[in-house]
Amino acid sequence: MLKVVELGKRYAEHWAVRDVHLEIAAGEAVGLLGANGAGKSTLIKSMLGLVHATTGSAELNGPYAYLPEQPQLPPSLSALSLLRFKCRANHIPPDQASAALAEVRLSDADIVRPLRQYSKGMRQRASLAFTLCGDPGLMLLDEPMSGLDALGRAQMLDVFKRRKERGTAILMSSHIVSDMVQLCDRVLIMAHGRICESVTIVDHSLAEAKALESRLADWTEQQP
Amino acid sequence: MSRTLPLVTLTFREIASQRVYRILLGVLLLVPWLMLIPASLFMFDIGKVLIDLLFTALHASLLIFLFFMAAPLIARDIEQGSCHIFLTLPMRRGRYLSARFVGLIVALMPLFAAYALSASLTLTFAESHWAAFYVAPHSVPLFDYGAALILMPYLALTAVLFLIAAAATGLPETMVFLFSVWLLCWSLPPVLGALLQAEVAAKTPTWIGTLLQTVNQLLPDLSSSRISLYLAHGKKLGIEAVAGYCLQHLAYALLAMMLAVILFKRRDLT
Amino acid sequence: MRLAAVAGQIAVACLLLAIVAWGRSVSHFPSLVGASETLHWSPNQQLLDRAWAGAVPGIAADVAVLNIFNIYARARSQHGSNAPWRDQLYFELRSAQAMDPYFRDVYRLTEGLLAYEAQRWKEAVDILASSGPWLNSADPLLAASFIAHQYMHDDKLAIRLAYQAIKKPNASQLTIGFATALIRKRSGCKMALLFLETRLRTLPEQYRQGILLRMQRLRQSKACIEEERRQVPPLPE
Repeated sequence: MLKVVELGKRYAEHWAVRDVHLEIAAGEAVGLLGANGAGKSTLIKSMLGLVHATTGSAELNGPYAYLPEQPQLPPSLSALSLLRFKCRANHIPPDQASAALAEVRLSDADIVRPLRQYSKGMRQRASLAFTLCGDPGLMLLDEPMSGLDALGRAQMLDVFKRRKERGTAILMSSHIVSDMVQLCDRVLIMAHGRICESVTIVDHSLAEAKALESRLADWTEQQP
Repeated sequence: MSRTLPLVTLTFREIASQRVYRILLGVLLLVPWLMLIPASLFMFDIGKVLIDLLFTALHASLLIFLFFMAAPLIARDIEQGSCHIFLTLPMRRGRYLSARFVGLIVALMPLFAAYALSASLTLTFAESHWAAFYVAPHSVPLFDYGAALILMPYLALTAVLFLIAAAATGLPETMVFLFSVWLLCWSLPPVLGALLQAEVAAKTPTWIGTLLQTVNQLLPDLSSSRISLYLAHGKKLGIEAVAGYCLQHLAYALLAMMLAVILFKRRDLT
Repeated sequence: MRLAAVAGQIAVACLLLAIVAWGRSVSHFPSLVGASETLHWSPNQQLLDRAWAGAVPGIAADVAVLNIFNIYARARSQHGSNAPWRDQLYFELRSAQAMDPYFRDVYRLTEGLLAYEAQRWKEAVDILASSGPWLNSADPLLAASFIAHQYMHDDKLAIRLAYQAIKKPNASQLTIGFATALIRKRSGCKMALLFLETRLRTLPEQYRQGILLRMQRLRQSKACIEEERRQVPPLPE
């Protein structure tokens, strides 16, 4: 579903992302773990072409969806009208809009209100619904749990797990280790713009999460 | 094309659902009738004065739309990243920008139509009420014609807005540059016209005139001053001149959009 | 407690409003507009006016004409020498003409106010004569020709302007008759009175004072009294 070869992005003299090789198959969930400024968002944006890569290439096969780190939605529109737009644009049956909004637990009353009246958490759910709508084969999620409380995070993880079981490939960037361990099959540790290590998740346990944190700290403290 | 039309529709709905849009719509229905008050202060050419006032209000409302609805929409899209949700549908950058442009023009049409309708009714009322003071007859078609022609340079200016926004860092920068462009478009053409007169030209160094001409060529020709004057006095406009006027603005808008797309494609959307 | 707080806020608001009202009633600053030294017409002034008027020169001309109404109304209400208002009048008329040379009211007011009331003959003729390229009407040129002949005693200029007036599409019998009289040097008091009477109709009542005064003075002048005695046959209308 996703193939990245030698992807790199340089700003002036600074390499934000360097020598990234990555492949994700259908039904596979891959986590991108790193501290702030590691290059996670830049990597995802380079894959999508939002940022022009300096080196390498990224190939996305099939329909895909992207959830930005801090999603900005048109404030005067409602969540329902925004999702219906996506359905029209991508030739998706219109009932999938309501289904996606229901999946993220937004009420019928909320989905017709203007987005500027939403709380941070509600906006995040609306953005997630936009991403989920249309059942994309690949989802690129940049900090998808941002703004959600513990219950909301648990609910979203369930949604992602269900999608994964249906064959959706997921690339999720986050700095919340526990979420990553619960969902992902493998986690790529990123530091100083490079993918330093690929860790396979075996039993999705707390111990694995702690080990990952430790590995992340080690890589982050190392000089670039 | 399949994603362009839904984005055009969405843009229209995004603009039209704003409260300021609805307020502006109401104001534009009311303003022509309010113009009767200052027009009634004049002597004979009341028709000409009323049309002047209506044209001026049209300029003002088009500027309000451009600066307070169009500019924030596109600048926010790019600065805050709202455009990411459209571009990752996926949608090509050129298509996205064009769809937003067309959507804005479509959103402008109801405002323009409401104003033209209200102004036409006002002119009809004034013509019947002040028949003795009307010099230029049949002012309604004259006004509608003039209003459509005044709209042309603002299409070009909207395209210039997109060109600026495609490279600007955010809304403040966009507004400053757009205002500067508008100011030049507003004041340069009549100044150049005045420089043609012997007594004015005699007192102005040649290099100033050349510089102003050069700058003027790069900008949209906002100077519909001749058009508004001619129509307010009931004078005919040459068909060739009008066709040239319309075509130049449409061509300018297309050119500005092409440049905007080129700049936008090269830009990193962080 | 809450009621007291609300009452207190209302009281403060009322106090502030009262302060605003008092301040406005006592702070009158003399108007800076009107000093003749600051309102001289020049080509640069035209550049400035054109620049700010931008794409709406018509409304700029309308505003100038409104200013003229205000200036004249203020001058009428004041007694004594009103020299500055004549400078202001000329300034606004030139400004209006520069913005919208097709605006007929500008030429009517030039004739009625600048010429017959303010007696700025040369300046009035300048403005009226320059209407040629813009208007199809003979009226302003005819008025300029009359003023040049009657008050500036410049028959050469008067004849030139009369010729221009004759060429206009709406040149009336009066225009042709007047031009003929000028050329034949047969213009006199009766001709002048007849002409001024026709000009009365072009202005609303409140702006006719200047013309009426000219007519009154003409009737009382020696030349008119003598002419009447000699009973010069009237010219055809």
